[in-house]
Amino acid sequence: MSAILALATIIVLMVVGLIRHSSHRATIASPVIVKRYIHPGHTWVRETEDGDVLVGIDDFAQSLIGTIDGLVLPRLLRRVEQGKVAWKVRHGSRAVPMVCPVSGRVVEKNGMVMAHPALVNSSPYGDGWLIRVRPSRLPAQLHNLITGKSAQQWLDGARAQLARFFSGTPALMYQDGGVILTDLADRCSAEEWEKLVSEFFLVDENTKQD
Amino acid sequence: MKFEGIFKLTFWKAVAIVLMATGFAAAIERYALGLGATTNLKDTFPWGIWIGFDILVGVGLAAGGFTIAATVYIFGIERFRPILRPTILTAFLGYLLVIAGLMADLGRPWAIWHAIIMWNPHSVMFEVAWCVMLYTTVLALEFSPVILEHFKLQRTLRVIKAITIPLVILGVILSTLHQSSLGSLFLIIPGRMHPLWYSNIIPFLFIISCVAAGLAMTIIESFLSSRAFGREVELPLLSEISRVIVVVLALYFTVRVQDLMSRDALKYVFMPTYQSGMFLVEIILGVLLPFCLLLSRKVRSSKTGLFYSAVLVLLGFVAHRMNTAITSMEHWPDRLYVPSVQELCVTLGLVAFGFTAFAFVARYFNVFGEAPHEVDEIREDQPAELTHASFE
Amino acid sequence: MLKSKGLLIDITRCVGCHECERACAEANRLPQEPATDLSARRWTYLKSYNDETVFVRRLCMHCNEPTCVSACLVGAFTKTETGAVLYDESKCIGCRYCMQACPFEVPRYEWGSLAPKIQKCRLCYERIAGGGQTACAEACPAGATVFGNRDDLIREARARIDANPGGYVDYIYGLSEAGGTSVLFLSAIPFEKLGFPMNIPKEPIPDLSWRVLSQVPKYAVAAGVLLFGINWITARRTDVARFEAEERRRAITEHRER
Repeated sequence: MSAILALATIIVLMVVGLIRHSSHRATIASPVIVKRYIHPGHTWVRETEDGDVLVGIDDFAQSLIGTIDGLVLPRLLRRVEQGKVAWKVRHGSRAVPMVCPVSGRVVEKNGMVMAHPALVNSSPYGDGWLIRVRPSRLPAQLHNLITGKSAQQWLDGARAQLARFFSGTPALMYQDGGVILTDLADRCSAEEWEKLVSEFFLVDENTKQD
Repeated sequence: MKFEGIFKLTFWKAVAIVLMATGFAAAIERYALGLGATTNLKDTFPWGIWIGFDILVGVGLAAGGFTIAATVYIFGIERFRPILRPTILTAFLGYLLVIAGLMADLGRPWAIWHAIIMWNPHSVMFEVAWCVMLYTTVLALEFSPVILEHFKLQRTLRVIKAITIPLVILGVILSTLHQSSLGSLFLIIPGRMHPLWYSNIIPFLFIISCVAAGLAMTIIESFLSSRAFGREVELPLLSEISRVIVVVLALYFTVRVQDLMSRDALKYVFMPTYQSGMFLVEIILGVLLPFCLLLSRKVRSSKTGLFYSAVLVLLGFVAHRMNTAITSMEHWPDRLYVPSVQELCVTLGLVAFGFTAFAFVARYFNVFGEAPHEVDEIREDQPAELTHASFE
Repeated sequence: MLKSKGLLIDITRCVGCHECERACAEANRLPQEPATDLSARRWTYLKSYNDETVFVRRLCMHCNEPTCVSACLVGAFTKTETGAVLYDESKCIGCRYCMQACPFEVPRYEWGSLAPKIQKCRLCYERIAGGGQTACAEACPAGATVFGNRDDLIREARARIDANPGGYVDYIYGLSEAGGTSVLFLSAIPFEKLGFPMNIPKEPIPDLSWRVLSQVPKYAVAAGVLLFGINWITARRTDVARFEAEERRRAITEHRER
């Protein structure tokens, strides 16, 4: 009898934890809790204790692009530049180039993410980091990045901007004016997508490396 | 030491405080009134959940300590170092709780030191007692660098570092002996245990299952602490660990079934009895289901998949220990054991204390990060990851 | 040198007068009170079967190689030269492993006490050592419980079965149970119908765990050697890895400087 009791107790505790966790998920996924720096091209940097930085894409970018099924990451030891395109994220037939938030040299690629690209969607700020970079001018470059509360505000602003971007396309709008983010990439036309990428991910002729 | 936030009340803190308070009250009642008045133990059922859960499960969950320590120090697989300290801490706290549970369960706890001077090497309990004493000491030493670093006691730290390898080896030997001897305790009770659990290889079964449970515990604790402290989960590491769990579960299942077959006890599995029901819960829920789940790559590389599979492994382990110690000796309906409120309160209080102590040490001591002067050592594993990732 | 003593309890002769219970309580200064089974205050109990026509005594079997003696970690139990298995409360720590281990479920606990002791039949150790017999055997008016040397009792039991093959089950309970016990039973009804556990190994039970326990030192030494060996091999590999890591790091730095 007590074996049943023990199992039941553990299961009850798990369920309570699950219920509480699901109601808190929104705050936990926020980039503000751990100190991250956001680049206006919707990529982020996080310092690690050994001086290298981890680089990834933010929540807005991953939801805009949709389920990620492929990544083209820069080669090891290659130089990346702040504000220049460094990698591509694939969703179906579309590949989105994205700019790097810092300058430095790639010292590691996240093997887990290369094997399971969708990890970027489920954990954009955590295990879904893309590359580890040995930065060359970090202190100066951090000034170009947004962090803390203003990062959150800026992300909210980006959502509003997205709503304005599609204000002429009612099919993509919710009744309250928000944009239907899911599978946006599949639903808008090629030109629209091109414009979207250049406007939100800051990719144009100047930022394309090489 | 900054204790900021220590007085901030959160939901789980409140739960832990309530559980600890009731547990403490129940413990006082037990010492004031005796075992008979506060427990449902009786002459025909002398061991209850304090043994079946607090001790058998507590020790088993500490098994992550020796597995990860051996992986890092003996087998030199350095990339597991980031989870070494939390696992050692879990093991150490686990053993302290086992001792606390023992003090509640023993009828004459003031005489516990008799075990040191009055020897009966023919007793399995003698081996258990010595393993508890020695391994708790070893775990304290293994964990001591965290404390010593914090208070900058460099000289003592150097001494501990110098003896790390012998210490770890001693720990592995003692821990495996202890895990198996908890199983051996039941070797002497052939007549009273249900044939689904009594076996002459029970010490061996205890070792295999504790490895799976100890590793599952490292996964669970990594997730819980990532949630509590806003850390990142070491997903690739945990995913690798889960592969080991798959192998261990497969081995366990094979050995278990072979054992049942060789004793001609397979026929009890599908009988409409209480025992076979519990056996099926134990094997299907706790062994086969997590085994199948973890076979899938998708589950292994997802946080929630890993977490819930690990919880299932843990449930199976708890079921096995409780079934061995309690269910196998129950007879429906005339001999049943349901723990008393006080027994439950003490047990839950101890578990809550364990979680609280872990959270406290993890928050105020350097448990998750490596020490500054050890940074060089962690870097050793990076070449391996570099080559691993360069398959573009 | 005393020969190992014992009791032969012939269930066919028992008339159910409960004299053994009374004498036991008197000799051991236990309270005379009704009971439903053995307890800390009742060391022998007469249980009735078949509508109160058959009576079976329950008491410590005083095994030749007692499980409790081997189970107790502080050695609180001893098998004495009289055959009695005795308990020493000054050593006991109260873990109750003896209760769990005993195949006959005999040791009883003082659950109500704050310094609980194990209680069970002592085979009237002081009386026997002084040349007497047990209180229960002395009190039995029907000769159902007889006291004697264990060897003589076995011969006597054999003789009773041979003399009256129809009147007894051809089995002496206690002859080989758990490697043999000092208390022996004869019955006309199969023992399993009288609540006797029949699945008890016919070998000394302590052997079951000693087979494993005796391997512990060997295992400890072998595991120690193996683990040190593995560590010695991997330590060299770690050195190599460290060297290579150093090389690679230098390569990265040089590359960056260029």
